[in-house]
Amino acid sequence: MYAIITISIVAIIVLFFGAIEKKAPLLPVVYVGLSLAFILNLVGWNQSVHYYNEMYIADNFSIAFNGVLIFTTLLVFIFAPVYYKPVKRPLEDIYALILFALVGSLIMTAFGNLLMLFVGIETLSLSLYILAGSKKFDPNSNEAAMKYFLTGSFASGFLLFGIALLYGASGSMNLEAIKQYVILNQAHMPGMLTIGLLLVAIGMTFKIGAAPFHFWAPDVYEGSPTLITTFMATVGKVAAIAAFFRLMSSSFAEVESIWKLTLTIFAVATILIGNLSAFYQDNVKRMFAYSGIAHAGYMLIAVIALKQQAAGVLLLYSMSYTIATITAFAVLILVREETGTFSIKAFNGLAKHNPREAFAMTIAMLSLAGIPPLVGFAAKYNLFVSAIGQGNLPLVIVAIIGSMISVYFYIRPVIAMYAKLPSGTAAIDSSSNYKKQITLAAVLMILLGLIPGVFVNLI
Amino acid sequence: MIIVLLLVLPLLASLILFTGKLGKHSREFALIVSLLEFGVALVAGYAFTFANHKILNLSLNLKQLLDIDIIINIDAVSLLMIMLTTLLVPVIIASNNNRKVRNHNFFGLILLMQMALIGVFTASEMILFYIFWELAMIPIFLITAIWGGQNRLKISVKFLIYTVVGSFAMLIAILYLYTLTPAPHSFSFDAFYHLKLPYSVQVPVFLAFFLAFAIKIPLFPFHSWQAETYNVSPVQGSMLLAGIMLKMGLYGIIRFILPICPDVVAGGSLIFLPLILFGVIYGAIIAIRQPKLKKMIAFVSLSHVGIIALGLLSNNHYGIEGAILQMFSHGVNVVGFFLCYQIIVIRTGTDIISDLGGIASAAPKFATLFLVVVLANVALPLTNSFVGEFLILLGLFQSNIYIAVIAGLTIILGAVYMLRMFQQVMYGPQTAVTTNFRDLTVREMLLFVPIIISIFLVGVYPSFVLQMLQTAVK
Repeated sequence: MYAIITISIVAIIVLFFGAIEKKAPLLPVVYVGLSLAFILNLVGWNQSVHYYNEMYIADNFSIAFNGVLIFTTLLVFIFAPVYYKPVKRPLEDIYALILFALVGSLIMTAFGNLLMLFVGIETLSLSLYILAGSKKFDPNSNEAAMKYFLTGSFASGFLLFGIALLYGASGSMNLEAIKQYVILNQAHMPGMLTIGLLLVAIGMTFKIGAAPFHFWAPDVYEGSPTLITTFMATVGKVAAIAAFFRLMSSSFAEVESIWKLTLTIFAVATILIGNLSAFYQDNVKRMFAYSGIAHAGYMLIAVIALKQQAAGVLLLYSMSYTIATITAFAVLILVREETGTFSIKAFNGLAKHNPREAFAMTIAMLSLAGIPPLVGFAAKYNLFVSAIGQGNLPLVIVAIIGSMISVYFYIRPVIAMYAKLPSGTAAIDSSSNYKKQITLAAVLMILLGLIPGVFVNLI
Repeated sequence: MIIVLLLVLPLLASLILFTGKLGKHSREFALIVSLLEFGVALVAGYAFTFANHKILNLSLNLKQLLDIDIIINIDAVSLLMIMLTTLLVPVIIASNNNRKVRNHNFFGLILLMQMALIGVFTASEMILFYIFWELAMIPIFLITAIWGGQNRLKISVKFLIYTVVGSFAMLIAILYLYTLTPAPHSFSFDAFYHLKLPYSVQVPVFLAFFLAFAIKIPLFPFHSWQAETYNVSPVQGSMLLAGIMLKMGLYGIIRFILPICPDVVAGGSLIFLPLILFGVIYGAIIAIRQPKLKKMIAFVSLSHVGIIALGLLSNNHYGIEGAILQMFSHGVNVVGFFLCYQIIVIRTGTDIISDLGGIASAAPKFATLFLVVVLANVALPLTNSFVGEFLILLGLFQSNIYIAVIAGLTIILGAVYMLRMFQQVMYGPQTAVTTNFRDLTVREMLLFVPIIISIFLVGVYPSFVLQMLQTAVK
């Protein structure tokens, strides 16, 4: 709760600095504010405090995920000065919107009432719609914003309709009350509740970018400014999946039968569509969009197998996915800056002149592909173990086949970097600042891979 | 603690090499470390034979921190494979005298690979095993993709895809078996061995494991990556692949298929024995017709490892013992063969057999050593392969007489391709490229010392290894 207040205040201060056209203090304020929020967020550990009639629940689940979200945003901001170097104006609007989106995502992981879920999602989404179009004079960016807004508001409509039906059936929007109702009526579920749950699930599936509601993702990811894509692909996705997990585990865990099959089909479709489509992409940014879809599918597995340790597994998976994705996007931003293209060819021979960036990218790619001993493997392995422990063997086999396919497209940039000759004439020289940040991300990834057990057993 | 040293020493050394601080001395450093590692392995061998076994086991419960339990231990089979690895890696490192490939990363990758291989051969926990198994793939992939010859990208990616498909199949099997272990579930080998699976469960488990191992070994229908990868890889890469890495697959058969799916193996391993047998003959026949020396080695290797796999799946203790011994012998022999190949290629610049000839008169020392290696590959009595192949055929004979008879043919075919190649390369009139063939230098002779010693040591006095294996096989 304090984290949300802090971040909101920081966002307003940022806007204020923008209004008086001061550029210098903007980012330091954001860094300090986010670090402070990160610490304040951890204060309530193991206390499970409820706020406003159980509207907002600060339990270990939400604290852990909020920690991940705040930290990820901090990483995104660390890369912001490099990405926005050519821009002269203070950019207070973009920073403030990212912070407001973060507030929305923090609410999403901690909601105790369906209305709060909706408020969180809308806070996140509305900010993201604007951010997607924040490159005002770029038609692709405008297209992305428009597509995202139209499809996204449609999905929000579904979600709201679903919430209404759930309320109609159970008489409450409180997760705990819905759970009681569900347990009482386990024998014969009213159709209204089943349909309501399905509609909510559709809305959530859209937000995490899972099939069959994933069509917006590639275009929006490709068109948005890369830094915003990074934010969308990490914070947006993790917040949505955490919210979905919370909804399912706290209200509908007892009635697996009414949603398990649907979600399993969604997950299978997501994994296959994501991986198979990424297979054919020559545009690396687009490839990451499909890779993000595929990872949404893997994270859905954690929702399906939501008993036992699945929350911890989801936490580990989110961490491994976000850090690897941010690192990869950071290298992508650098490559794009120098070569002017997102094509896979832009990576040719990168290792020769930029061994550090190439190394970080390699670690990120191998981690996303789930190659041991990196954290991506630990995450996938835990996910599969917890799913298989509850009898989801066919689902896990599909997921493993998906991982198999993914190795090919994740290894392509690696091969381009190490084994192909540079296509351009000039060497890419990165500023010393950037080197530190990329190294930081790579080191984090390796460190995380050393102690995955800690996070799995955390919540 | 010896076991930790075995794993940590090459890992640390490879990390030091990756920093690039050693510059020109990278090769010497790598060589010294690998020799030290061999020393440590000898100590482990001494401890295994004469002292108590306690120091060879390590079990740490790190579930909270690492999410896996670390269980490592060395038994007779592991020890033999560790010996093979630590013996060959110094030879492989020292054999590199290609200036273009004299790169600190190259040696770092070789040592990293050594660490992963030792990990594979010692792990007693499924996930740990799987981690090492995958880790071993990355260095060899990079070695091929970066320092390989023509078409290296396409071929190394093909190799990668093949092995990844196999290992994921294995992962599925591992996860499935995990769910069958009694609660609380465990990934330790012991828990897996105590499963008494019904036949209907053993079949899919067998298929998944067999796919992974058959690709790695490689066995007949899954071998199409092999010849190309050997051909395109730098010689050191080929040595690692043929000498040590393909033993991972065979080792996997010993560790998983034999104890977990005994009924499938007893029932003749489904339809796979005839398929492997076909691969054995097929490899041998192609080897006869192969114009390029390196590709020929690849097909010879395909044929030889097929025999080893037949021995392992013969469901007979002679066959299994012979196969394990032959795993060691084949590693030594094939690396010896690649050494000879490298010497010929460096001196003449070609490996097309018909372009060579008359080397024996120019280089008598080389001719002698090459002949020993060739005869060891043909499985002449008193060389190491004889013992292994004899036992394998004996075992096969007792389990399935038809397969044994056809497999016996390979000894004849082996003599045909080996001696024919040797005759064409070493005798006859000298050709343009072989007239100025220098004989071996002292450094090169030294490279052959460990190879020749192990050829004769195992060939003349195999019983000390076999005794060790007998208890392990039972």
